[in-house]
Amino acid sequence: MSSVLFVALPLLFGFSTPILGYFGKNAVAYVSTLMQLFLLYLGFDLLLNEGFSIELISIAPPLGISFVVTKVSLLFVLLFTSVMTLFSLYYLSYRSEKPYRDESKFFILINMLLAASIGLVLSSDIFNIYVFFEIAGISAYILSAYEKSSSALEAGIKYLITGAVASIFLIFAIVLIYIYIGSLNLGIIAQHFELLPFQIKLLISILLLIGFGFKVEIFPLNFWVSDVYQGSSTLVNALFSAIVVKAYLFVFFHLLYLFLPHGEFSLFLIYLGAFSMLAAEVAGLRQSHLKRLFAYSSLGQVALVFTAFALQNTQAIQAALFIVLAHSVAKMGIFFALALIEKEHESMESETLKSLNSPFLRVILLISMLSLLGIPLFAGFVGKLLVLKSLALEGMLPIIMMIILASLIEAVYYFKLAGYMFTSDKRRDVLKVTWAHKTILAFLSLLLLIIGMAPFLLSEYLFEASKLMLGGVS
Amino acid sequence: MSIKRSLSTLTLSGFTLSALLILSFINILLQNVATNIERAGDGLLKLNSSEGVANVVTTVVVYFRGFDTLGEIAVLFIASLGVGLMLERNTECTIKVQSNFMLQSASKLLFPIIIIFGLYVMIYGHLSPGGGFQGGVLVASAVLLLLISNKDLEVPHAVISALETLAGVSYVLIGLMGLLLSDVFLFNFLSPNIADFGLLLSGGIIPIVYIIVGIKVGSEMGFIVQNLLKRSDDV
Repeated sequence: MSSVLFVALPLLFGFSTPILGYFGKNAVAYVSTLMQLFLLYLGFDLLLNEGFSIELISIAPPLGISFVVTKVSLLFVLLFTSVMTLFSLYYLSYRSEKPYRDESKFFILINMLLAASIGLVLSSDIFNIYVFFEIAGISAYILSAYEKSSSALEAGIKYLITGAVASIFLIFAIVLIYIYIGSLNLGIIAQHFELLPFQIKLLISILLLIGFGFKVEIFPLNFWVSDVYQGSSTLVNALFSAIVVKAYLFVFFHLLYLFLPHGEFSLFLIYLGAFSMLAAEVAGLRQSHLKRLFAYSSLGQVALVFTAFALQNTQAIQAALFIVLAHSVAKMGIFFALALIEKEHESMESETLKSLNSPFLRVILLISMLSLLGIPLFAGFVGKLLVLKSLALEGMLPIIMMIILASLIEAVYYFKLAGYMFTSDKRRDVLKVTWAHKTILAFLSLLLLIIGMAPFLLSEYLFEASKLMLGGVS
Repeated sequence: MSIKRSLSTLTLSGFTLSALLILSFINILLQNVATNIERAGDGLLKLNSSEGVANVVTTVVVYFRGFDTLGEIAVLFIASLGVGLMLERNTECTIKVQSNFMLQSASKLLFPIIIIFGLYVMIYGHLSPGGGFQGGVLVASAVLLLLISNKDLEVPHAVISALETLAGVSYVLIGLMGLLLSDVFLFNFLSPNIADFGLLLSGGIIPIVYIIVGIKVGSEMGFIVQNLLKRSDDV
């Protein structure tokens, strides 16, 4: 089956919601979830059949746009589709108590976000990537302002302004590329990029770094992230940290490996990533708002992935892919659990955890935090170990010190939260968690344990994927 | 206050950065651009003859890079949805002053002319300059004229919504038809005939898609215009 369906079906769903609205209140929600399940099936179908395909759109590349499915892009597509499916399933049982206002529009937005993130990963045309960059951006701005409280509106406007600035930089880079190379196809650009004059190459690289820097949340350009996480609704934050930022990370490094295969700016990017991680964890230390705190922890994890990708060798990329998976699963668990807590306690200060009376949620939060921290037997450990290993092979001692220091700081605030959860005795009444929510949360935590205890199940696939990513198939 | 101030600083620094960027950009642009390279645009120009469409820009926008256009339609769709979501609770018209007699009569006179011109631009997009985007905006401007001349006017929401849905769904379905019939999404499955060059019915799916784009753009812009006018001033 065709990979274009990943984008076409969500668009079709988005455009046809007024028709679905006639079939009753729940039709939109159920059709959306069924469509996401179908896309998940489609992803596994592509994986089992060949794992590699090129899908033409309108006319043949290099003049036309095409979708390239490889093992590595398929990994991200499967991640996004399964995250979105789990999100929908979780929301389906959440909505009976506290639905979003104007639900059908909410479903349009999350499906547009899914389509755009998948398009970003699959497309092999740089202008097409820009179009998906815009769709993902605009749907994310609206999602973060969705609740229309003052903090949500602040989040939406901050997100909008930074996103608009980012897309200016990106479009200038694309214009320069077209002027100097005369093509928008990634493969052709990759062939000619090295032959460009040094100044042009530098300018394009800087423009791309700034344009994507806002979106991959790297140090000087990530000032907006904590406000966006604080203002957005808790469930939507799961999408931001598990889908949106991962799609931009993939695209940024995909372009980097294609355009600069010899790692010209590698060292600079490694230091940038490590410094971002340290800065994020230090800033996270003095946060008392839970969503803000986990925003900074997301920044730290993303910076670690950035460092690993910037090393530009197969083992480091494999490590980065491990962290991407572990972080997505852990953050989903955390934000899903926090959404339940927020609904019950109506507060997101970290003191709230003191009065949390639900052993189940406490265990889920603890497992997710231990995985984020990189404790052995949890999924986060494998990735962190591999990153440190490949850094050691490159002899980068200062970077290793920075990462370990950042992890220690991270441990301080996680254990503070764990202390709040397990030592206090001023409990409220028992927080009831429905069986549907319990199943999904338990599944996520189980996934973290399985990846952590048996990383060999994934490592071969991820190794192949990282070879493909570095080799730059497009 | 502090939010306002930080936002304005943010905007200001954004503008300054972009201005600096544009200056350096133009500077580099003027220095040494290779003129001898073959650009993708030249290749698309050569390909155009096979589609039998008089207006090359239309072929590129609707067909060769039709997927980008579908994406742009999606961008406009979400943008209008966002405007609707953010301004929805208000129903009162912002225009407090009753429009004068001249505007009321002139808009009645101009409305049909603008609509017909907009439809012409939309339908003849593959033969002459113009097309769906331009035609759609023209139609929306006619609606805007009616709305500002008569503040009590209600544009029938159901009709616009139906048109919008129809256009959006049929765009994706045309793409899927191509996928079904010849394994290529958005393929020109109506196999254009070169002999029809310059006729209204030429170019296969290209004029159809452009009219769909026109309807979609017109209804989205109509929604945005209406939502912006209906904002009350208590926000």
